[in-house]
Amino acid sequence: MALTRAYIIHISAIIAIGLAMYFPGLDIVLALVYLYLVYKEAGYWRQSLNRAGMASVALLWQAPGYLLGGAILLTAESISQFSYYYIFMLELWGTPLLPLFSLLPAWTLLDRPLYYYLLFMLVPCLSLHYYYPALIKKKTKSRSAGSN
Amino acid sequence: MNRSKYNINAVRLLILPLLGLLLLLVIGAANRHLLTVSSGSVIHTYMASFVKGEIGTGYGKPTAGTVPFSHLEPGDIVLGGWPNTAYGRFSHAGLYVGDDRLLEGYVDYGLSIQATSTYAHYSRICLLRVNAPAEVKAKAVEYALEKEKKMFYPLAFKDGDRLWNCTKIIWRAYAAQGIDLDETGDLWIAPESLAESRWVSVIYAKGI
Repeated sequence: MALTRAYIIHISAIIAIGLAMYFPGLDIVLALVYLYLVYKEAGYWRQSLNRAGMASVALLWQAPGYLLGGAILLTAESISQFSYYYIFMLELWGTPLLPLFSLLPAWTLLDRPLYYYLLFMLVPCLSLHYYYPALIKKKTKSRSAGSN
Repeated sequence: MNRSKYNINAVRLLILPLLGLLLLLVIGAANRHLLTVSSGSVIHTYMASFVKGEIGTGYGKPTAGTVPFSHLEPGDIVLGGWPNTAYGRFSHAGLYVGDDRLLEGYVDYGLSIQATSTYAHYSRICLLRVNAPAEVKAKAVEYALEKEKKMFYPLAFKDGDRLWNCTKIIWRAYAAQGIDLDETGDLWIAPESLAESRWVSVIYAKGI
């Protein structure tokens, strides 16, 4: 259930934020709304899932991104005729955060723009964003135990 | 208490789908003129290709023949494509900026300067000349070069200065000079739109 809900939020964010790009500026607002919704969603599930459960959802939720990023980085691009599209698909998968990336300076590293590298970092960062409430829970518990 | 929590959870799940639907309706209403365009719009072309099973940029092998890139002048447009491209005869576009270089848009390089030889692998190539004074074309080139290294997004809409694709940069560079290369007032600019513009002349074509 937690995983299904996380997928619904992410896929609907791809569509909504992709469409919001029609109104420049609105896409940035929706990207922030998306991050807030994911955080609140994870915060809700941390009450019923243990840390391993939260970690599993966080990883499986971004599985398409991990697979695409891995395929590109491991140069498995030549294994199918659709391999050319992997980088496009990874960018589309990252649509919810692209408005925020587009605010960054147009720096380049090894002739590639900064956002290209961020496309690969985006996926684990989103997993961590989902898992973060579980970390807070642990720390809060530890502090409570310490005060007792 | 539980009921209110249930409602909050439902709302959290519905916010983005509902916003997406609302945006779809607003954008659809603002562009309803595209419904009356019988052909030429990106959506119409893509849907027609989708029915035939063509869904992307296409692929193929280069055709024989030397492309006269040396005849290009700054401000000219280069189009490349494959027979099975989903959004028209061409899948890619570049703006000639001089010295055998083009400003192009790629997902892994952003808006970037590339050699004209990047077009050698296409089976379809078309060189277009915009029918405008040289100083106007020079300003269009200058505009485009200012956007180098900006972010590429394949579905970038026409408005906005943060997200670009290979055709939007060309269209915007000329639009800034008062030349609208899009005849249909489309949501996106396809390479096909540039080829169909009344502002351009074909100076070379191969594989079409």
